[in-house]
Amino acid sequence: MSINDIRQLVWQGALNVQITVKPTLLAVDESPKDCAVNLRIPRDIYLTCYLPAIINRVRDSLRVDLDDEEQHIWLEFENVPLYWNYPAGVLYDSMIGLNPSEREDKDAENSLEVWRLELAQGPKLPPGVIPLTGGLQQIRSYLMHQWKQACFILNGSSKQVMSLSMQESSRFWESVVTRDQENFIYVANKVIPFKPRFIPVIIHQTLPEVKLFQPVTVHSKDDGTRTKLIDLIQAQFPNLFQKDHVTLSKVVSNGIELPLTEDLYDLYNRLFSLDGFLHLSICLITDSEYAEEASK
Amino acid sequence: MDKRLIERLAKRDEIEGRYAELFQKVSLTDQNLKKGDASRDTDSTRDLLNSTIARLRKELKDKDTNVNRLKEVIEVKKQDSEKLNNEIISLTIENNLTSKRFADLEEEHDKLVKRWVARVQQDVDKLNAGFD
Repeated sequence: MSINDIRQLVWQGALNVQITVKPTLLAVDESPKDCAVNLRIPRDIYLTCYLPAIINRVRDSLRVDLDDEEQHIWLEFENVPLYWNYPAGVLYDSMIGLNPSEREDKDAENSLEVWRLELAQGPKLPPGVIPLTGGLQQIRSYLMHQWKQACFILNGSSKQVMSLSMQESSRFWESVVTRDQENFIYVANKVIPFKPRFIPVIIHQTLPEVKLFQPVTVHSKDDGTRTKLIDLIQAQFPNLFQKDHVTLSKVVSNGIELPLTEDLYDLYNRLFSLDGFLHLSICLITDSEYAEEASK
Repeated sequence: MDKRLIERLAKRDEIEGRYAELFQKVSLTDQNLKKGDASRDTDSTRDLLNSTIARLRKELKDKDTNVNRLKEVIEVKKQDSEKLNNEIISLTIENNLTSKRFADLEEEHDKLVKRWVARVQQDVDKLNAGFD
């Protein structure tokens, strides 16, 4: 069992996603269920990469023209617009407030896990959603920009990404599109150092409101010890993770609960997403888990 | 740690991978991600239908825009009508108040006239008494 096994599992994780269309966009006599698109989408990719495929499948059932340049298209979950600029798995974990152990308890042999999304269109994008006008090329630029940011946080400069050759940049993007983990890791390893200055982390909080945090996370503390996940979380959410108290929340990444006492950079090295950041979601514990913790 | 993470990721895949065969895997390099698929370009009937659908969608969009514009006009007219109604109500109230004041003044005027007539009558009676 090695770090590569974990990276492979992270890379291969995928979700069952069902996309329907907002009823207002459908032609007369069409029902949302009839034109639902069922896709298996990797956790570690931008949802919006699949928009052309989704549009091609639903186009004939619509009363509107999805190629209309005056209109914008986006995806929604329970009427909340999804920010396409985060990987699908991250959005899934944070938007549904995934509690892995609760899900495992409810899981049965024949249960089916589906993420139901809706395709929406309108003259204005919802606040916070980045306009997507350049298709896959724009997504590629965005991804490289994210890696420059991650590289700067890790190394103190973006030199490692800026000095990638054209061939390596293409190889990197191709690896995302073709789901070729070997090439992805080959380029990522050129950027990720053995001992970083800071660790690129993004924390997603859904309750009580949707919030994002990008804390400055040092690799080693002043006393020389390495930062643990609990150090970061306690500093960021002192009310939820009180010292010597029952914790009210859990930290989830890539669909699994993370052990709070683990070294943060070790977790980063194993679980970083395709944009070079470690995405963490905060989920509240259930009543029964709280009672169990309190009784200890 | 690695063992624990692998176990959890495997459990996650077990749950999220169930019935995965019902969900289509789409390759991002597929032709179906390009605008329209190959069959559309080759089939002329399909082309014709597509162009008709595109034209009809454009017409529908124009109609929708028109409907929205008319809805806005109706909304403005509604507001105008509401404003006029309010004005009618305020004028009616003002009219009622003025009518009341008019009635009061008329009553006062009648009283004064009555008093004046009574006084004149008194004077006349006194005068007549003097002649007698």
